[in-house]
Amino acid sequence: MTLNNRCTPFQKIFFLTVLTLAVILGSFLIGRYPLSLKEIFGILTSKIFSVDPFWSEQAQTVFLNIRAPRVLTGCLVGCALSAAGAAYQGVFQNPMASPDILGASSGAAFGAALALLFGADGFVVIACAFFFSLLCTGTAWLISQRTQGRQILGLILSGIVVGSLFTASTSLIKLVADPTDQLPAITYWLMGSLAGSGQVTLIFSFFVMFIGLLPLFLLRWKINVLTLGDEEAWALGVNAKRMRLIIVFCASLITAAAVSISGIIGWVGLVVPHMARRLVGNNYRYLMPASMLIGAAFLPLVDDVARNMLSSEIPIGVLTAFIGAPFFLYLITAKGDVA
Amino acid sequence: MTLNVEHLSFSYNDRAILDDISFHLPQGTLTAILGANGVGKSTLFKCVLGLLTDYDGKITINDIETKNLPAQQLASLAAYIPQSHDTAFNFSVFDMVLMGTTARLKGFRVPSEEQTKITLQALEKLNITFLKNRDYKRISGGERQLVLIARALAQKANVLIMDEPTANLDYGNSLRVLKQMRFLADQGYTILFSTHSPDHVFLYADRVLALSKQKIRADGKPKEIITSDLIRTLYGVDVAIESLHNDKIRCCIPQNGIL
Repeated sequence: MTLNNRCTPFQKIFFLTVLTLAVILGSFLIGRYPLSLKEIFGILTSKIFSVDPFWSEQAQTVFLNIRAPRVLTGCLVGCALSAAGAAYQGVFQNPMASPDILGASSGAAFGAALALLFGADGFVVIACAFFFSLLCTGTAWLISQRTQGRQILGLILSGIVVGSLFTASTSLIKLVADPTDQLPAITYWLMGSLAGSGQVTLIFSFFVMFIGLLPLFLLRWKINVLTLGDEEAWALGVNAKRMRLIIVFCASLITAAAVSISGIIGWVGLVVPHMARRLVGNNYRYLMPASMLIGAAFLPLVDDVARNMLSSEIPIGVLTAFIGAPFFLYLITAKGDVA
Repeated sequence: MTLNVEHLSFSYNDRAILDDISFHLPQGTLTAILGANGVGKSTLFKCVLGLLTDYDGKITINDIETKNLPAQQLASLAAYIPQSHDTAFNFSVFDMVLMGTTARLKGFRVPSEEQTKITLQALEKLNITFLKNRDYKRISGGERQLVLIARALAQKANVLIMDEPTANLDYGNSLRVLKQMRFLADQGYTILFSTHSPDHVFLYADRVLALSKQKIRADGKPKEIITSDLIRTLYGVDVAIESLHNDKIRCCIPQNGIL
């Protein structure tokens, strides 16, 4: 705590940036096929300058086609889920909000299950999950426009309702899926994994997330004002309804991109923003970048464990729950405010 | 900065809340609104602040019609000071006041040195600089009210709308907040506030609007219009108005069998 009080938020953000870069670099090294720093440096520079390869062909393939895309996808997914979680908590004025509050995960799960049922694989599954995730949050939003009373409550309730309809539909798909190959594929997808990441998914997620993350970063100060409620925000010069639409849209977009690539990875979007709150406080000016950075370090780190701890890979969604849930218990019982 | 309301009428689901209300507040006046619960004081505020726009009539601040102004433009004309409240998240007092500067921040900008200076000046003006680094959630109700006033000052709007600024405050804090309001009005702020205490109106306000049954029943200097008849019309209770210290002060004494 003394360190916490001695540094300015700016220094903390800088420290987190360094930490995230270190985690990325470290994650490049470890794996079933270990790579050395020198090899990685060589492979990277050979893309720009001509360097005589002192590394094996295999090392280059592992790094460029498997290791780097996976680690970087993990960064993006972690960053997106954390930023979305922080954003939702702000606009819903609720510290317990997480990225799947509007049913983004339920929608993605349904989309992926549907695609797997029809024998699709690879990018088709991702595209289908992405589409249904957006459809789910979009439907929740449209219904909330017709609810009476407080708009936020209406939005949360319609998110729960639409989400549970999609979850029920997913169960139905599991029921009719072929138990020898389709059902396991669906079940594994639902547990979450970054194993499917490749260069294509990395490029897809980078573009979609850039579109969503940039406004969230730029509008972070306005989220502070939104946490005070619609009327106060309006009187302070922020059109709450419009601003919330923009922020919920961006957060839903990046959540959809994240869960469609990685499957259901729970807890990250709830726990990481709270870690960031402990570190830099509730001012979104620092909270948003801190959440993004911690998320971008946290998920590759957990994925390192997921792919290296046992001889077979552990689904990352299982691990984040095992790490996230106890950590959250610590947060809510430790000294100081939850929010 | 003047606030002008002309022929304002508002109804909700065919039920009239405000009916043909007109008043003009010149710069630097501290004006109180008296009226029973549910008489439409909050509705009037919401119309002035642009939170409700489906009203008939015309509201102008400094000759600018406010009805369809965007939030940011309106916020640089009029500031709203809610009752001291709790927030979903804990912010430092400094950040809370800094949020007032949002009204004049363009686009994607975040507050910088200039806004920091404005915030410190606002805190200084209300003598609460010592609260700067405290948590908003951990200060008293009276301190919160002063912080919210400071936030309105940081907003640099000249019309201040205050919703029962002394509600939930103890006796001392009520008087401290009212004193600050008087001080700000003397500095040129145009302040409109709602209250349930005629005594406070006698002590500090330049003017009072008495609202009853959708209309303004009386409008003028407190000593001239607050009478036992008016109090009976507004609240349905009998009081005697006592004059003290050669009529420097007046106060209401309830007549429910005590005297």
